[in-house]
Amino acid sequence: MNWLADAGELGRMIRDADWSTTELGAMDTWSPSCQTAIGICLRSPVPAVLFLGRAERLIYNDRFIPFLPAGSHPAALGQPGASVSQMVARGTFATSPIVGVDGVAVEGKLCMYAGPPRASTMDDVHELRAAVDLVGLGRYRSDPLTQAIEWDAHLKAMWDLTPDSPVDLAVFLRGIHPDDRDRVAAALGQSVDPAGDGVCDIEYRVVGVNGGFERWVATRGKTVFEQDRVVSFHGVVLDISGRKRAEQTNVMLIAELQHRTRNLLAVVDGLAQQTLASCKTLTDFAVPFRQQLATLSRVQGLLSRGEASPVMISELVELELSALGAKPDGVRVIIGGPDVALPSRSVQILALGLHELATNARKHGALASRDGQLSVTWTVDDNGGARRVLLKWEETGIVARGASDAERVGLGRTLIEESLPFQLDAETRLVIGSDTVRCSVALALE
Amino acid sequence: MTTPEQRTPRVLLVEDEHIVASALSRGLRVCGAEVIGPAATVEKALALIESTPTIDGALVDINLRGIQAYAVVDSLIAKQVPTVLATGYETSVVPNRYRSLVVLQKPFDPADAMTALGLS
Repeated sequence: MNWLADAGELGRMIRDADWSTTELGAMDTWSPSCQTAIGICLRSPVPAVLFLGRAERLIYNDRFIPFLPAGSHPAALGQPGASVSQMVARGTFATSPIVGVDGVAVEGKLCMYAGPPRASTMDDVHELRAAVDLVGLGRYRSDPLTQAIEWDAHLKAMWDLTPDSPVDLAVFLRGIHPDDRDRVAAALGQSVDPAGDGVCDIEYRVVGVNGGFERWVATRGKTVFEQDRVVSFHGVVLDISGRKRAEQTNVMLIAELQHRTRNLLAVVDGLAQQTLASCKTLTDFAVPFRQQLATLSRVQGLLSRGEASPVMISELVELELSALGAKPDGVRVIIGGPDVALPSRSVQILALGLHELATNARKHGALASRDGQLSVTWTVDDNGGARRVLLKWEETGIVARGASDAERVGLGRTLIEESLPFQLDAETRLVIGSDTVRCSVALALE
Repeated sequence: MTTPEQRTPRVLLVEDEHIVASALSRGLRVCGAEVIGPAATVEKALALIESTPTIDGALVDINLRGIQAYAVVDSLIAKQVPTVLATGYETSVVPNRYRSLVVLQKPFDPADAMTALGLS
């Protein structure tokens, strides 16, 4: 069996198999052309398979194993070809007959791998139809004989028409947003001008023939000319409302961001003037102003979370205290109250007020005294249907250091007594005692 | 005897952000104005327009606590009060019917508002 030497795993298996019980007979009876074909198949550098004899029994090389139905190797060897026929679908095979030495008898066929399966089904009509449905394309075209406009059911649905409704140019225009009709008519006019490229590519709003809704669509159409005469046109319409909504949201967000930024700059400008007015020298100005900027910066972080995640009063209090190194420990620094979501427009001014109170506590008050105690607590009351939060800031055990009351509250007093009532209609009170600081803020929550 | 030229011009200030309103008030005063307000809401601004006999000019932020302040602007126009608008938005957000008014983008110098009001 030299002709099976060096023919891979399959070569050995063929040699060891008992063929005498098949119609092919024992191996030593096989014809030379058959043996040659088997040799070519087994030593082929590409996957190859032989269908041998009347029953088209399967003989294949090592490389062909992956093309067999999973798990069918080695049982498939010598089996009638019909039982494993689906394997050919996994690739394209070039087939040639094995002709006997007499030049007449066909002893089988040799199939050699020639490439991946043909892309046969991609352009299939049903597949295209499914794709059109998936994308939600509406289609239109002119009837080549009558020149009448034809729309598919998708397109009619976009115009709020039933599938059997007749359509014409008037119906088409009636379903378009009045502000967009002229623009669309102009684009259509251009696309049927033989001097142009015949392409219509435009986005516009559709309100339907009965009005009552608004959707954005994109149209792409093509007019075909023959000697400057329109012979047909066809095209597709796609609903792009989702994309348009996202674009509009973007434009709105950018405008809001501009608004916020410019207002913030105006606030920074105002803070700078206010702080400057309270300073004796420019050197006194730098530290408090930088701290105010840091407070504004922290607030922007909180507010950028958006409406879905409101700022809680506890996190604002903790944020401003921890910025000055004061951590609630339940002894010297006490924070407590129910969960309260702050109205977003109250956050910035409240943060600035808390920052000033905390700064004063650190410099002159409870946080500067060994036995000082700071407690920030809040409750919510109904106030006859108008829910509000009552915030209490209390410092006790302060050891007076001779700073004047004006120095001890600084800008805090303006923010607490003027800004909060003006801006938030809050009721506030700030009392500076010799060894205490008490501040209360009542703020509407709706 | 006080002629209108010698009288301190009265400027109504409508602005809802207190820190900004304070700074503008101070700036307008430095420019020689008497400040009416500031008013933080449409209602308060309308009440001030109603209760102030003579207003020589008005500076109005067109967005007050998220509400557009055009009711205030309309009331000022009806009383022929020179009015300047202020906004953090693009000036193009101002409706066409107010196009004749000067729109200042924040932040701005109060002196520019006085100039736009013809009071400098």
